[in-house]
Amino acid sequence: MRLASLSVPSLPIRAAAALMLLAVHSITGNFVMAKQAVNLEQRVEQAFRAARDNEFDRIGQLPALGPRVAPLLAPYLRDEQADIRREAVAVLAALGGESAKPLLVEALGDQDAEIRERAARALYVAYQPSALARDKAVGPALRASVLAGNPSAAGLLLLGYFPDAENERALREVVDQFGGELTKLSDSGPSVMAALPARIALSQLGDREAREALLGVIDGASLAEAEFLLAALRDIDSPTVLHALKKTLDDEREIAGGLPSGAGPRRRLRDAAVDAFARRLKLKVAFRLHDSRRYSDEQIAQVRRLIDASLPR
Amino acid sequence: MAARFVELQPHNGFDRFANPNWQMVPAIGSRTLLLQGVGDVPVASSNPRIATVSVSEVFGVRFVRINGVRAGSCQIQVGLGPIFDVVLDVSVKNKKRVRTSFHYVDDGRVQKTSRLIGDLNDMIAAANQIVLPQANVELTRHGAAPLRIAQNLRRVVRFSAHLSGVAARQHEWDIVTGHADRTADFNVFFVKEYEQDRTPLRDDAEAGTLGGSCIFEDDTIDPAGLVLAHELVHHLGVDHTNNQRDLMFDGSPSGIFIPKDHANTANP
Repeated sequence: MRLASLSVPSLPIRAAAALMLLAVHSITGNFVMAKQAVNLEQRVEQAFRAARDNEFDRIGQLPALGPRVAPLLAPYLRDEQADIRREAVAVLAALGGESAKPLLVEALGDQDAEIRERAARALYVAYQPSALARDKAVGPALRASVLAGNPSAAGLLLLGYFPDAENERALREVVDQFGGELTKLSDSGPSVMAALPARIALSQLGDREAREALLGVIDGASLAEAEFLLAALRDIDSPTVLHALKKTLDDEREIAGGLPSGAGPRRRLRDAAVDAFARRLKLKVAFRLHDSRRYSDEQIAQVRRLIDASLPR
Repeated sequence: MAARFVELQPHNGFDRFANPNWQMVPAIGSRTLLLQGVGDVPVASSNPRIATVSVSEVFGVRFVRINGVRAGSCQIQVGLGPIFDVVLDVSVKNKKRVRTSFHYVDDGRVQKTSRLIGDLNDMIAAANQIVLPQANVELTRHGAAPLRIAQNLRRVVRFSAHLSGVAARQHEWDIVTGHADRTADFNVFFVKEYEQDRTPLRDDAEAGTLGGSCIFEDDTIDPAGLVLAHELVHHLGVDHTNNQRDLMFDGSPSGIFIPKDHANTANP
């Protein structure tokens, strides 16, 4: 057999073969993708059907399926049952990413205050505020949610990233009317008066009075207030306020965070302050940050020097 | 007799140690207290948009019923004012649901919990009997399944990251909690034995809670439902106390009382 004559077909034949191969690949490829999409849809449907019977194990598996799950959650986010909407928000929170964002923003307007709170917390944790601020839908949705009674500190803090007279008015309304009510940033975090996160947001929007009030709070801060301020350090942009918060680097009061309940030696507020400042200001410390341990006086002094060197007065 | 409010039922959200006394009222619900030591004087809510109040008298005994309207705080004021005979602080709270996944750890060697999924609902009910009437917090079952872990967890699962000089491989906490259900609010991992100090062979820890996860050993002195309620309230940001009557007492046996400060931290 003459192999040469078999191995090199003419150009038109080769082109036709290539086109045929391409078509077959495209058909099978599309088929595989379509089959995957159907599978995904089925798995979401099965998970929520089970959830209606109070079986939630399949819901817990949905985030592992990746961001393509997010759009499939839209109908469940609008379900009549609050339990189902709550599950949809929990999956979106675990997914994060661009595909989950518009649905979490939609959930800020849920009729149930607890679901609004969960949506605000998810947006606070899973997204960079500056990226959220570029999305024009987020600011008005946040404001409406806060005014409708979103009990989350996260919603208040996020409003500080949306410079707008109406947002400032909404935050002042919170301070004046609901400032004495308690709020939290996370389940495990301290509870503080709603006026505190509202003033942090107002300070970020340039409100001088709110900034002065924050300085007053820092001056005599309770342990819960000091812990909250450190947890919300990302949202504090005033160098004056940040400098004032350096006093937490001297605070020896023990806190519950960083270790399982009952374990010791417990961390002090000053240890949490080291972590918070190092991360907030991206300080190049010459030691390893560790969420569970105490820092030495020398390490804390180093952080103080780095803050002074990196923040204008 | 000085004017005062008295609880009709213990551990129903009334804190007589707080000054003024304090009552938790569910946003859709009510609480009834006895009012002693005052005559026929008015009883009013400082903010009826948060809680309303009604008074009834049976054989000379005055009952004050407080109805929650929406989440917030107000006072029940007894007397004509401006200085009242007695006041009661009231916090009206929405229900805080903590969707919890339970994992039954088995490493295929010695670290296998002896707890049974079939007992879980009773444990949850016992925990909710403590936290629901006092703080309007409800633990709900989000999942319950065996968890097979491939790594050898050895005899004791440890949290040791905070202890200098202890090898990193001794810190099994991350291996176990790495299996958390990310859609749950709280994950409980049942293991055979758990410790979090330098003496892992001395059994002095029953459970530990951090960052949305709890490792919970088999051999607890207090009943499992009580330990679960205690860990749940840790998860909600409350620290230990020295009062043995408190749910958050740092020792055994503990009480089940949830004071005002703890309820307000757990469910603001």
